[in-house]
Amino acid sequence: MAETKFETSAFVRILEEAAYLVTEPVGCRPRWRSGSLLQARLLIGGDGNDRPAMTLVLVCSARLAVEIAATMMGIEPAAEQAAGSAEDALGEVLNMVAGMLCEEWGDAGIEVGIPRVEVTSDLLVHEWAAEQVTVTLLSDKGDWLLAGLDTGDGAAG
Amino acid sequence: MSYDVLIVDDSAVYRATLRRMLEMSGIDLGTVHQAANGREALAVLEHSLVDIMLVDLNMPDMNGLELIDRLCGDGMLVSTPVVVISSERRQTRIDELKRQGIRAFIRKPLRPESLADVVQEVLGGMRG
Repeated sequence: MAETKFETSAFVRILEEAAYLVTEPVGCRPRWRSGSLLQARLLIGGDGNDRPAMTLVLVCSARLAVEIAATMMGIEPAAEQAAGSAEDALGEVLNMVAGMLCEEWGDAGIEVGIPRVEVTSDLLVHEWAAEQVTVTLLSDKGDWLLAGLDTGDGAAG
Repeated sequence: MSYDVLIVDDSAVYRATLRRMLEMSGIDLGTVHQAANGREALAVLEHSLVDIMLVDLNMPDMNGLELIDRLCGDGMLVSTPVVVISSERRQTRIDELKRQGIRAFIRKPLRPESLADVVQEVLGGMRG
């Protein structure tokens, strides 16, 4: 996973540009507050050449996802519409990260799937394969996110 | 003169984002139609004339590429300008879309002023 630094920077940059959420990678596991988590996954298909299929994963608290949605929509986090849009917003963030990675890799044949977002209280819902990288991001608001890339057999999940 | 717009994106969040950016742009907006995929967009176009379409590419059911193919085949790309707003960043695909007749391509995430500039230019430089 030699490209980990770039993949991490793609998450950081998109979160900042799309959701005005400033984050930085930190070298420890996230400490989740109580409450549900949202886990977004997006499959990027292989192009039949060197690059295998992989899954981008982004996990954060449901509360932070609501804030991200509200910021993107220009509404207050307390607005009903923000709560109902949290999953959609997280998926859209992953979509943009995928676009940035595809450009960097320059693979014309890669297809990007449709984001899937689940509400969970269990960080292990996604069945991580052996070849996976996760990076903990800490936002300037003190919220944690977990960004990941799974290139193993579990990528299709 | 006000302009009717059709926003096509499977993300309701991003449709709301684009609508807000348009409202902030100073462009005189008429009706802002929304569709979650190409099929819904075609349904809107059956009943409504729009001045400009903002189209995402990666959508379920009928994606933006299929929609643009359909509009191209029907000759609608000539009469109804299409601006593609997508996370897509591969230049070969963008070039192909431009050859098909889209008026502009904007990458997500975008800044409000970028959208305003492009839409204003496509609509002929007229602000409301």
